[in-house]
Amino acid sequence: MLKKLFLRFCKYYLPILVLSILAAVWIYSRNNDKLITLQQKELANKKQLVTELIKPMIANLYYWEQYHFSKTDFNPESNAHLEKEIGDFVIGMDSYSQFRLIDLEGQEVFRLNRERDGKVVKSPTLQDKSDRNYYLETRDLGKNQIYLSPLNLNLENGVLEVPYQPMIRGVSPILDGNGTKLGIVVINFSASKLLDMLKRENQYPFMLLDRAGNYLASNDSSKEFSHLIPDVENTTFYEEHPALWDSLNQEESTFLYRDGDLWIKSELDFKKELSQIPIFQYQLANIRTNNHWLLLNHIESKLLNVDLKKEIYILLLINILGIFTLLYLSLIETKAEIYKKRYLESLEEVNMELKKKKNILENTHNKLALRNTQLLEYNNIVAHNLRAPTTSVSALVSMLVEAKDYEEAKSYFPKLQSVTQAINTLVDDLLVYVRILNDDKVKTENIALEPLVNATLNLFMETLDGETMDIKTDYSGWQEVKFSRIYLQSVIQNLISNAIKYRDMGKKPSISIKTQIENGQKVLFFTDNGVGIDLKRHGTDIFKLYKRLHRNLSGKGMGLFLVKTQLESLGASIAVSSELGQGTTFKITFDNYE
Amino acid sequence: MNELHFFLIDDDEIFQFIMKNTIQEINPEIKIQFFTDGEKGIECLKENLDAANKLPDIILLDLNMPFMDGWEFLNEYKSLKSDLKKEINIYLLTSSNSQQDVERAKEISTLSGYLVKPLSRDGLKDLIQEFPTAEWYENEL
Repeated sequence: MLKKLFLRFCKYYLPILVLSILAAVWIYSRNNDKLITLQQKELANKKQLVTELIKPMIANLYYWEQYHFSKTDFNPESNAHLEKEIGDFVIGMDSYSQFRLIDLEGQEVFRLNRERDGKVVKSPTLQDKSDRNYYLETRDLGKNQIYLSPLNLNLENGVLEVPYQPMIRGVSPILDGNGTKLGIVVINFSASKLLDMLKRENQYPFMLLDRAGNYLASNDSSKEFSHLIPDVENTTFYEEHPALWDSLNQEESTFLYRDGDLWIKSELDFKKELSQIPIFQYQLANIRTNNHWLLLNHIESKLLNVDLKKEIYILLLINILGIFTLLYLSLIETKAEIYKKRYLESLEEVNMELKKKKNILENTHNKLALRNTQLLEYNNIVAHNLRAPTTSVSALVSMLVEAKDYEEAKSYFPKLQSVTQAINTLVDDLLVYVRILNDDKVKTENIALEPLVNATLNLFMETLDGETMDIKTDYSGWQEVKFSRIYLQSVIQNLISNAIKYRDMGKKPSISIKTQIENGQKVLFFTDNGVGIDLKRHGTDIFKLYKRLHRNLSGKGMGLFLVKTQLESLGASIAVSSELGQGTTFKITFDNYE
Repeated sequence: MNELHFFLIDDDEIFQFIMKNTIQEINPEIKIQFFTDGEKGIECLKENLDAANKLPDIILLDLNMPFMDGWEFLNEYKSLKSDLKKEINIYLLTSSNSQQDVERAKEISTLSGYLVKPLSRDGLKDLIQEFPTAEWYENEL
């Protein structure tokens, strides 16, 4: 019952389970897709923010390049007039922390500083920048070219300015009217604000890396610019996640999973992004820069899908509900099935009972039919065999009465005597018959056939008068049968007796006795090679009382009648097949109801 | 007119004796021949197919006999009938008064009637007087 219940439940629940798993997978993948799209958008926004903030500097640098500085402007003694005009410009530009003019030798010739309080002041001291990268890199800068330095920290007089000032320096060459290069203009773009904006309001950790894998921005600020700050351990993304770093640089895809974590990346190539800016009369900016940044969002595995809890919870709830409902349904169905099975079983039982009763009825019916036939037979015997002598008696008696003299009367007596004798014999035979019919409680037992046949055969050896007879027996079909010993002995005796009596004098007589099982019934075959019977002519008459078929052979005509009666009284039956001159076979079929 | 010629086919010798007596009492001129079974009767008919004077007018036929009973006799007789040079009337003469036997007898066209034993002197007289009977004949008991 439990097994059936379980199987049925599984059958119903399995589709739901599969659907739930598919749904969960779908929800997960959809959620991650959404997340990736969102994060990519966020990164794209950041990228745009950077470009938008850098763009004005490009335009400004171009402006100052076209400003028509003269040779005197590159002499610190004669360029004091620049303070007013350039100062006004720098004040409006919050993110510019310095504005400088540097001559061809790398010496500052003009310098504006933005103080902490936001005031723009002309620096009284000028520094030598001839060893700085932005000077060295831009010495060959031609007309209309703009250089953007990497994002790094500001140095003053060769020392890191504290607090650290992340900077991008924009540089343009300055040429006089004749195209002779006077020097360069350098604008320091303070990236603190930009970096703050990038780091602000991030749902997931954001980091900004340069081409070498150094941290430019990170939620762990100690990692920022560690490659530039002495006395601090140099922490780079490249060293922390070398395999991931390789993958990020190689793969086209904008996201990747690593150890369950999701990484979203976006590349920002300054040259590519900023070269698209038209600066003057549709002329595009000619920018020289090595700035190539990587914007990364890092989503830890434990943070992935946290907002899916609700959906998964609902799915789980549906499943639990489903499990209970289906369990209940399965239980009901299994119970119904068991009930149905029991019902069918009980029906079967009733059916069996009915069949049994039908069998009993049939049995009784057969017995009654048999009894009816026997009664008819009895009636027939009385009609034919008993009436004949009694009518003779009455005829004789009336003749006696009318006899003229004693002599005549006397002549009737022997006739009368023989008739009464015949009546006596008939009555005796009838008694035997009626006794068989009436004997309901005839004793039956298991009888071994072989000894019985042998004993009976021995009885007849003498009557053969020294003639020999072939006896063939085959008891392979069965050996024992439940029957009345007296009847069976009488049957065998009569059949053997008949076989001997009606033997063919021209042949060596033989009898064959064989047992067999036919349709589950025990069958006994009794075959002789005697004179045979013309069955077309006599049919079943051979089993009738006082029926004699052979004129020259003595016989009372009682034997086969008795055999049939005895067999039928115990549910057995006898049939005959025969051919004149060939022999006769009697087939006895025993009832198998016991 | 010649007196009637009877065949009595019956294995009961006592009955033969009784019939012989009865017929003699009615008319000693009546000729009667006895056969103890059907086969003997048939053989006699076969031997005398053309000898009309040796064939009977009436055959009284018992039913219950060994070797060849009345029914079998009638069966054999059917094939002989057309060869016989004399019209023969056959009456069953049996101790059986069972309706089943009477019905069966009526089905047989070669039969003229059904007589139940005992056949009294008067009964026999009636038969002789009415002979040849045109319709189905049964004696009164």
